[in-house]
Amino acid sequence: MTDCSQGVAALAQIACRECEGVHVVAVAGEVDASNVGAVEEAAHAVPNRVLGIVLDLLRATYIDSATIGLLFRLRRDLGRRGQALRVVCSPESNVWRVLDLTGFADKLAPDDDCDAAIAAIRVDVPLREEA
Amino acid sequence: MTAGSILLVDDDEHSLHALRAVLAPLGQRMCTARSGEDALRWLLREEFAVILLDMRMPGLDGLQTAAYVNARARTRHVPIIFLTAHAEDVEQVFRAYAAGAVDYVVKPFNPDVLRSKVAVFVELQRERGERVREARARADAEAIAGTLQLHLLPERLPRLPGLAMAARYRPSERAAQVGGDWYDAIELPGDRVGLVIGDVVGHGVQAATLMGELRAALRAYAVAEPGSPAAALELLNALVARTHKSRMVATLLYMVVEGDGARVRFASAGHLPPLLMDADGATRFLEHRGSPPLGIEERAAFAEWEGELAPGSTVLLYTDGLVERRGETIDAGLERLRTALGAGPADLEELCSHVLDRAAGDGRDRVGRMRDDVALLMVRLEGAPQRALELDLPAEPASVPVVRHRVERWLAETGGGGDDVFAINLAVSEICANAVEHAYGPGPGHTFHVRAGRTGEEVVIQVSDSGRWRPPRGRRRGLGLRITEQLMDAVDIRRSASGTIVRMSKAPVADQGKAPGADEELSGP
Repeated sequence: MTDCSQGVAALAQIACRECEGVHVVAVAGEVDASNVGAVEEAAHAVPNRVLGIVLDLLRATYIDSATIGLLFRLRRDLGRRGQALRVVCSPESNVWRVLDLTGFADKLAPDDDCDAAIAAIRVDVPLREEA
Repeated sequence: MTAGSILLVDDDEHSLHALRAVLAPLGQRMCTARSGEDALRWLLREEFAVILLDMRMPGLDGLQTAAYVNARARTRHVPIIFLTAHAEDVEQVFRAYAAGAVDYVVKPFNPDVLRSKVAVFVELQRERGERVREARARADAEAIAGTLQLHLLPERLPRLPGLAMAARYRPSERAAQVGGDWYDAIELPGDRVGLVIGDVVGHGVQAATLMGELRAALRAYAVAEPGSPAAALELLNALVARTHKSRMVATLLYMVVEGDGARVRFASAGHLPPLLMDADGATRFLEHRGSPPLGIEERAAFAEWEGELAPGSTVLLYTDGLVERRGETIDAGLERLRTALGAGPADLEELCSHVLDRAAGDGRDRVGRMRDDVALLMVRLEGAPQRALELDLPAEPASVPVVRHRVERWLAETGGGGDDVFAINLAVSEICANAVEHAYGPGPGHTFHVRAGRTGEEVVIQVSDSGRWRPPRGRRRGLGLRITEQLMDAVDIRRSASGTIVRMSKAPVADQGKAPGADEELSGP
């Protein structure tokens, strides 16, 4: 497991790992305009060989439109490379609330469990929107 | 002119010719019908001043035709002159029409008598037409004045931390009394608010128009002279005197209240004194050496009342409709107002309604219409001033979480636990991120200002910057603002050359989170 959170101070901790050919970026703490760049870097450090990215926000306590913007870009860029993106968060959490508020809960169909998200990518489950 | 047309109904063509010849000198349009049925067809198409109707016709006879005419609301008022050759017909006419606009002429008729009878009905109809037109014009003017005036009242009152406001306007219900009373609340630089109550002498479209002029001019002068109501009124008075040359008179009181401080200043142009109620419910008028009403002396000087108000104080500004009643001195009216305010409910909105009902409630005429229009405006300095949060931070992304954390702590320290903390934090962060990113762009040296306060339980947060606002570009650029608008109860954005001020508010969830409809069910009739 790599700690990718240099320079983000105490606001968020970002941890990256690879699991069964899926790049997992786990974010704990708060993500806003001041540190979204670090999350973006960690997420974009994706080897070409991986099937996709799981952005694990189970331990994220705060996200805002900066993260929504990131999800937008990430999904677009990964899509071009034929890689999948899945987001993990608990239903009814603050993170889920922001995703819901911006219509992303429907678009991304977040999972509430990291293993389920990894498995979903492995069996090549398409995004719900495209299903 | 159609309005004066005469309908001639007779089955005998010679009779019709004779009637035309007799009535031609009246100069009215004439239409002829050869039967009762034809006559009814004419009446569907046109309005007539009078109908000359032969009693004996094949098909519908005169009386049957008249019965149809009377049965229709649109033609019921049209007078009928029956034409008959038989004495027994006259008796029938009297039996059928004991009263009303009905007459008869026995053939062979006297041309002069017939002509003069018809002329009377034509004239009556012309007069009625004019009365109807005048009444319609009056109603139009009232509607215009009423609409104009309602559009000139502020849609909503400004929100400032530490200040609560409520206002009412009740129009007169009497014809031609739509008036020139108004109130206004103006946001001023330096966290001040300007409160206006005014009354243009006179009623109708003219008064409403002049009121609009005064309102617009005072708004401009208020911003130019944010610290001094007297200076603003002097400018306004000079303008009114110059442009209206004493043809227009208005009384007006203009008060400036400092943000969440207690400092209050006002100047009055012949207006009734503000009424003050302190936190204990004690009431007194803020007596002040007044100046003449606006527009009388071009160089009138205005003195300023200045004072400190204790937390919890409520100030009431009002127009004379609230205190004037026929057969009563104005002192009695003022005393009644004082009692009403002192005995009112604690909630400011309820207090406003209470004062309006109690003080103006009997200001009705014999048929129960409101005599005069009434405007009132209340402001309350929130009791035990909530500690406000003030932050000045560099305009850089790292400031965004700082604001969020400070606001979160401040919410916990001052709130009753009902705040939607996450929503408020999110909204504040979005607006601060906007200020940092859009207002300044990259580059050092700029700062932005955050101020959080409470009006009652409601959280009011203001974020101001001195950068040039750049409109959000693209779909996601405006996302933060859209999120904020969804999360907060009210979001108000003011952009100007000197910067952007975003003011937003949110009531505790406990207040707004009631199950929808639960109230209605409980408080049903």
